[in-house]
Amino acid sequence: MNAVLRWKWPLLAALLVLLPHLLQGEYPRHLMILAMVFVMLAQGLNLTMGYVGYLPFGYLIFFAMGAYASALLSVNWGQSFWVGLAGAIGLTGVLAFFIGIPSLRLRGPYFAIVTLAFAEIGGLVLNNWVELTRGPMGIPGIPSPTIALPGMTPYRINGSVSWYYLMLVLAVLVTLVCQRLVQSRTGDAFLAIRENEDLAESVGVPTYRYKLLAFVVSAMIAGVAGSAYAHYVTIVSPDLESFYFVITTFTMVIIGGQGTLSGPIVGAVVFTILPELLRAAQLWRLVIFGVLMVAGIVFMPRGIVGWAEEQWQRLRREGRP
Amino acid sequence: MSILHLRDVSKHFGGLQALSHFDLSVPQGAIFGLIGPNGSGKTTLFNVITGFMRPSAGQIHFNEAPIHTQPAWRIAQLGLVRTFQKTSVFADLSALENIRVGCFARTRGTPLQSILRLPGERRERRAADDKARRILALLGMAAAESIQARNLPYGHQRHLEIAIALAAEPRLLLLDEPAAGLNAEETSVLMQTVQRIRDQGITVLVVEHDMKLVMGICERIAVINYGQKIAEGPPEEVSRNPDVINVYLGEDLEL
Repeated sequence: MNAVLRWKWPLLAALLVLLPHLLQGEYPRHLMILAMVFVMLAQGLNLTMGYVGYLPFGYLIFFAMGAYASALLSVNWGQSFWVGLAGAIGLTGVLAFFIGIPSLRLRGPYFAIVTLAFAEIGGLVLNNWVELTRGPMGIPGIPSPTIALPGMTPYRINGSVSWYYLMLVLAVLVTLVCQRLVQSRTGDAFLAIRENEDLAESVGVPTYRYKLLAFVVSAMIAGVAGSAYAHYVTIVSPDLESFYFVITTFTMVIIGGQGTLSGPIVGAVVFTILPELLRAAQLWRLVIFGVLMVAGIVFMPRGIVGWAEEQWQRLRREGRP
Repeated sequence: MSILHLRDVSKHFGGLQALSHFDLSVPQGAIFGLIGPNGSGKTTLFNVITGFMRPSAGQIHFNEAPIHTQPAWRIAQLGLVRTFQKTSVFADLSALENIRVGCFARTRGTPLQSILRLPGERRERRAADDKARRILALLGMAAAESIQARNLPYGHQRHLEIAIALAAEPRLLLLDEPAAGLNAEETSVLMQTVQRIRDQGITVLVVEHDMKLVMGICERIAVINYGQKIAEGPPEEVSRNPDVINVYLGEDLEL
């Protein structure tokens, strides 16, 4: 047991690298790619929701905006994926900054509702600015990324294995950024805001600035996820901020475990795979899914990761004489 | 020399005058008491001084610098730190983490430095951890380091509040009813703590209802009623003031 614990990181890394070769067939790989997209989305959301304690209901608009920015840059203006990715990060960052300025003056449900309103406006723009976005028809034919380094023949990301690795790298990078942010002075400020905003302010934390920072970084991460997803599925449409994505992402963070780094990862993987496993139940699929969700919230209020930590600590206490 | 100076400060909420033409000078290095009946404006005064509310009129100077237009976090960074009347800790964080948040004002690491994990940022963070441990030890709470604040006994929680404020390295510490809910023994420990804090060169302004505490440790006391200062002076003098006896102390106070 102890040996397993000591080797957990190398083992995990090996598993993640070998995964596409262990999983035969396109569909399981597609699910893992999707899981990586959701890891990014959930990590971004967790930063504002889990660490700062503000619920950005309209979060998925940044996923959609990132996807559209990347799609337009590559399809309309012939730019590469990497330019599209940078554009997605830039656009979502700027949007979040200007949405955050008025929204973050509000607390609790008021903040949640105002971000939802901004997301609705975003959705209307995507649907109705037909000259630019082609409205509900969306933008098809988004090319796959190419990796070109000097002195190397350009490598085209094509097929599920190379896509998996690209998404894995992005998800790891996003997680690393989140980890470093939350395990620092900045993270102290985030947690202080979540726990007691007035007290935080009274010991010198510029709460408004740090809330804005978290919100902008969250949005940029959603932008990364959106950009990568757009190039993977090769088409974007206003469905990107549909109810499906909203519910899935929030469920992943809440049931995975808010305010932890591993929670969003666990949540993303579980809630990408679980609905597929439940397909066997056919008609009852959504019913079982709903029951599991309710049970999860009732019996694991701190999420899967919070629950696992409690069990682990109890085991250790009982194991010690 | 006074570290905090209020000149003609007023605050009204609509038609309600919470503070009117309030003047106050807190001398450097003192333990200064502020007393008054409930609803007399003590907490409003604290909120106005610490930037949680803007005064409707008047000026507030801290170390000769005007602070009445500054946001609360800036005032805290200048060295004027408060505690709250209702127990205020970061409930879900450990005792150590609570105090580390208090170190925020005295550390400089930026978010970008955190993401890049620069060596300076790491060093600063370790230093903050060490400082937090020292403060915990000073308060005799070293064993509580990794306990969540919500699970600490009440007396420890109130100590933790002061510890968080001390970590911010204040030059003037404002305590809002620190003895509320403490028993006699805990109160006398608190009195010693406040005196130790002052001996480290930190000026203390304390709002308190516990007369034993106020009369016991304050060198100077101001009495507030209906938003106005009705008396100020050393404890002996104030406790004999007929106005003060009338509105607040009552006839048969024994000290």
